[in-house]
Amino acid sequence: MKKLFTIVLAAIIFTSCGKDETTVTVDSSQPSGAYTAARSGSLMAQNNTPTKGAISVGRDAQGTNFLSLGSDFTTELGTGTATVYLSTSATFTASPGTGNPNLILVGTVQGNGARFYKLNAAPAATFTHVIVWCATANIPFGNGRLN
Amino acid sequence: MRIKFLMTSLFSIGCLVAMAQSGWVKDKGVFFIKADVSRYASTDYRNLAGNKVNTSKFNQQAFSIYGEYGLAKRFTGIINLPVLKHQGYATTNNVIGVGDVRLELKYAIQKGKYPISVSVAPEIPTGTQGLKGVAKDNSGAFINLPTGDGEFNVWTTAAISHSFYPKPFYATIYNAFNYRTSYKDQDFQNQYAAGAEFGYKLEDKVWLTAKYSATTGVGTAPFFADFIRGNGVSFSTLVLSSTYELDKHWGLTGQYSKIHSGIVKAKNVYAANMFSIGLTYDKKR
Repeated sequence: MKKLFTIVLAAIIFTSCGKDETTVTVDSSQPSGAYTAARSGSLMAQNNTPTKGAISVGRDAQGTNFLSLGSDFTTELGTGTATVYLSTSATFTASPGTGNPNLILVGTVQGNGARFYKLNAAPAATFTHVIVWCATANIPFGNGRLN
Repeated sequence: MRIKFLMTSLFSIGCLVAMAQSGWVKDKGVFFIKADVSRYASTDYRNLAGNKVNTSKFNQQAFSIYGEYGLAKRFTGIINLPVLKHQGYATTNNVIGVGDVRLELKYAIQKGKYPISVSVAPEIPTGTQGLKGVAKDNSGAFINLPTGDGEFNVWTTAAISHSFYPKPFYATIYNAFNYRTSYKDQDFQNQYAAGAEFGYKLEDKVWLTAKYSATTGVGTAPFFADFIRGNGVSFSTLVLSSTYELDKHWGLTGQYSKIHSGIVKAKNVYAANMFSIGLTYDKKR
């Protein structure tokens, strides 16, 4: 009987504690703590688009790598999504047959303004540029060198 | 009698052409129908700033039905039904859907030598939404390609015309305002349009018409907008068309349209040459 009472009491206590818990959602796609840029630059427009804005690659306080587009980031959005790439040069050099060794696909853009893209690792030093490419229009909208 | 003859002279000399933006209305029970297919393809996108951006080729084909019916002495009902639209980029899949239906009620303020009309034309967002053109080489990149703009809008048009009968020649000028609403979180910029049209009948069998119009945004322009919904759009258009009368009722029609920067700068639109061919049927009095 005493054992049964203990189990019921424990269940009530744990249930009560559960009601007081708050859920904290951690967005792992965003930097945690301070973000520190390792290399940075700015975008130059191509093909008469309004592309501009600060770019950088760096780490957050947890050591996670990110590519950042600044709050002044603007690009052409009339022809669909634009895609952000890290590139070994200012020229978009696709080579799907060999696994695109000169490009790292970072993410897509559907609006202007600041955003972060989580990277699996710090990009090699050979990836010197950020390219904003529109796959539907099949043209670059802009690029910038990371220094 | 003379005046009445002038009033109806345009139709008396055989008008197998659409007259939506004109001062004339149809007599009661009279109707006109046109079914056509149109196509354009262009790499010349003009962005929101009006700058030319050379893209991969965008193409659109459409099958449309257009009709005018004389509801009463001074009222004409008009319908424009884009039955099917097929579109896409060279770099994406193509999509297909129905367009936005436009209904129009036209009222003759004044008949006679210089007929004047006003019309109200709600455009119902019946177009297929949720269509996407996905890039063939990157499945994460896409463009929304709905076959309608998704918003409810109303065109209000005023037009005045004049027939130079017995010379087989007419002229029309019009002004129009498009009150636009919103689609999801996107508010659409209103539009103003104006144009002039001239028609000439050749050898009693062929109507030749030339029309020039300009459409521009009114109010705050959008900060960004994809071109397919036509938000923030402005352009000038030259339209040349010809209709050959096969018999008393039936006609064959062909049309060339050029969307470009002219009186107003082309913005958020593909500068393009559009071609269409169609069949017309005119039920006369």
